[in-house]
Amino acid sequence: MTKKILVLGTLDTKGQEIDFLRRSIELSGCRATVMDVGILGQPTTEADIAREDVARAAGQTLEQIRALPNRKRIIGAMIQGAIEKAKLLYSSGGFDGVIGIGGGTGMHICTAVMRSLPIGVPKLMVSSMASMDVSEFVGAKDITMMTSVADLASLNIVTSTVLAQAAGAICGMAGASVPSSEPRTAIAMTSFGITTQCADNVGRCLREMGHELVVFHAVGSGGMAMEELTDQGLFAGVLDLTTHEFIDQVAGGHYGGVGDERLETAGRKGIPQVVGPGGLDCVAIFAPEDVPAKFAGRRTYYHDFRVCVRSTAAELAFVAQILADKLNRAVGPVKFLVPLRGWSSASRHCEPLFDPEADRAFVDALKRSLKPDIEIREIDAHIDDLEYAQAAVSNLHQMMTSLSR
Amino acid sequence: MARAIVVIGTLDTKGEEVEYLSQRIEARGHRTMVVDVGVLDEPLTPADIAREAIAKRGGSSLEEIVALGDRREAVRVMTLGASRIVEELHLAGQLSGAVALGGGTGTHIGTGVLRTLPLGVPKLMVSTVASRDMSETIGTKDIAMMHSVIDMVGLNAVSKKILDNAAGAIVGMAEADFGLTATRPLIGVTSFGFCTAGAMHVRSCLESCGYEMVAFHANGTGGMAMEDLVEQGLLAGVLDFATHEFADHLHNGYCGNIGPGRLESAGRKGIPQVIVPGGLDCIVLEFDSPETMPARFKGRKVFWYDFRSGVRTSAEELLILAQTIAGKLNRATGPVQVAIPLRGWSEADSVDGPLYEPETNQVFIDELRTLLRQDIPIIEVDAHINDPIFAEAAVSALDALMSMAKRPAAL
Repeated sequence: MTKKILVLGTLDTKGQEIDFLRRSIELSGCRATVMDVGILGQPTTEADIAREDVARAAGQTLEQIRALPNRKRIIGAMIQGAIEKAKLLYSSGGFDGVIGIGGGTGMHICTAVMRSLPIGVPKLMVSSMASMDVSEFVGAKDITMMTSVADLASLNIVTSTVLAQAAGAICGMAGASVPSSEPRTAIAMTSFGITTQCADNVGRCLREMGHELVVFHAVGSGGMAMEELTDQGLFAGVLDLTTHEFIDQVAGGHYGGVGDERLETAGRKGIPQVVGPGGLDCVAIFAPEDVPAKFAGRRTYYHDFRVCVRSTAAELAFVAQILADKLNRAVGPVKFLVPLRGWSSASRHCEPLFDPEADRAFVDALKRSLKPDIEIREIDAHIDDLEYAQAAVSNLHQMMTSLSR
Repeated sequence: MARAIVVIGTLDTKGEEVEYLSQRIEARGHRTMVVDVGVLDEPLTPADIAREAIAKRGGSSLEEIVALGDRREAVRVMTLGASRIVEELHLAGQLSGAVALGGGTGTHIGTGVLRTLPLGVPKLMVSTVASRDMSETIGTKDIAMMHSVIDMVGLNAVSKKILDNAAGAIVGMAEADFGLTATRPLIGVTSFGFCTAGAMHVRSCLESCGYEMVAFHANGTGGMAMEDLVEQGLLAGVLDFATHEFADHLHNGYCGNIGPGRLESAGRKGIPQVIVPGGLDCIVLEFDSPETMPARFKGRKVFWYDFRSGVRTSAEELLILAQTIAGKLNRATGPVQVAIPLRGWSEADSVDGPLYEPETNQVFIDELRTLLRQDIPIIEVDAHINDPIFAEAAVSALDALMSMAKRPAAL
């Protein structure tokens, strides 16, 4: 069956580019449905879903939206309408993939629409702004960002090359179908570079039990993606063993970009979770020359182009309080598993960040703050040791089975 | 030999994923070539170009970097070695696209390799860290970044779907590749939201003079991308219509992430250029209400836009900007002119706009006139930057420089 692609763009400023994209998509054997999300000027080409329809989906007329007091509200209204339209269309099987093109404003509108669609639906954004901080635009979604290199203000050899490739990419993605496999129970887990061994060990233990492991890179957006998919109901259990993001958030590290929901979704949904202090031993800094002066004198571990700075007892006590507050609100079963011989490969015995006293401050604070029915288990092993992974998996398994009884 | 899609990854940690990705690419009828950039543990799956060969092309050996135990050095050697090999494959016409997958380190290596390929060669990076600041990772290159959402540790329903999408994307890109060929001389033009109307007039003027316009979004990387393509010799002339990036650069504004080479490539290469102060009237910052406005700008005039707003540049700042710009233009080895619209430099700086301040703009013009080399003329046009008459004047100035440059020097 012919695959259908939803094309988003502002047809007043990008009409010619959208036309070219539509032709390229059709040359690739797919069908294009163009939605005009422009507001101000006159469309220079025809849309399948006109801007008037988009405005109506936001409960207003185009004139009403244009009359709003500022650009921010005008765009907000158009985003709302476009999301309504796209969701409706998607639920009736109206498209297999979505592509958007635009500059700053266009990217703002198109990626908002893409973020409203489930993970797995192919999403491609071609933008002249893709080579900057895109965290707000990509969020926790599987959006592919393609830089247009040149501005999408005219068709020329640079822009037509990029757009032709973009058309190829989205058609290729939409044609993609996953070979189906028998459903297995999926478990979510957090991990990052210096706790990778733990993820490998956990994966092995879970496979033996017939579970499937989905690992999230605990770098801010990764932790939030796990929360989001947990909220979508994808997981039967959560192994949040690398909570590193919290120390970065508290001490000003690189991967602290988490939202309020971090470490709360599993608890709110009543999904069993085992939590660990993976990576709380260090604050991650992106480049050696960026190490802030306040960390002077602390022990450091050179990872590659990134540096890990040892966290202090005071910082850890503070993080323990945050974690405890979140976990205390959980309505489902929770266990906290502490490996006593180090929380990352940087704090093994003999490694520069080895500091059992600071670690102890965390455990003590946690014991004071966690409600009594949340058990803290201390495991005499390093986080990378098979023993720790086995303990985490078997504790989770226990909670899952007693819950299902 | 048939052309292949190069698949780059660390086979000790991502062997399974790399293997799955290449299988999915091959299922679509394309040949793959797996490049192993891992160092630490044994590769889990076979490579077409082994890590030993890569370390060697990187000027070291695998034994040496393993023995050294310095992760940064290992990453450097493997990136260099893989870049050289991939570049050679491209030059030999054996490569139809390249895809890399990885986490933090893998993305660093993968994009390092992808950045060595020229514009137009399909490049895709599947990464766990694609939802953040991409300016260093992508730079000025046409790398598509696919956010993997989940970590790449083992195959599961989610990672398979993402990798399947990635296989579809790179194959689709490779099949759509029709190469870069220009038929008319290309003129690089910078532009941004507040002077888009002007840039659109510029485009029709350029086209009627027989040129093709390549516009660059003056957002920091956009201006740098233009510099890059000037260096590659792709552009015959430059109309630097929106030099706004320099204003943002003063205060780390929205479009301020430019390098020291901005506004210098055309001069160095000796190609004709016309410079316009588009957007120097404002500094664009991310705030959308009086409450979120940074304290140090309180009291300045504001152009409320969307989630971004423009604050008025001061006379002092314009003096600094004139010095920076004059310094760069004075070093040019080719023909240069500056064209200034006297009735405002952006949508915000127009008679009815909130940032309209011709007397402040005059400070810039006077300083520039004092500092610029005698042989660099300043043309003043009694119009707004978005007026068709200004676009005509700027384009005809450039057209004159272009035709002079074509004439033999002896005349």
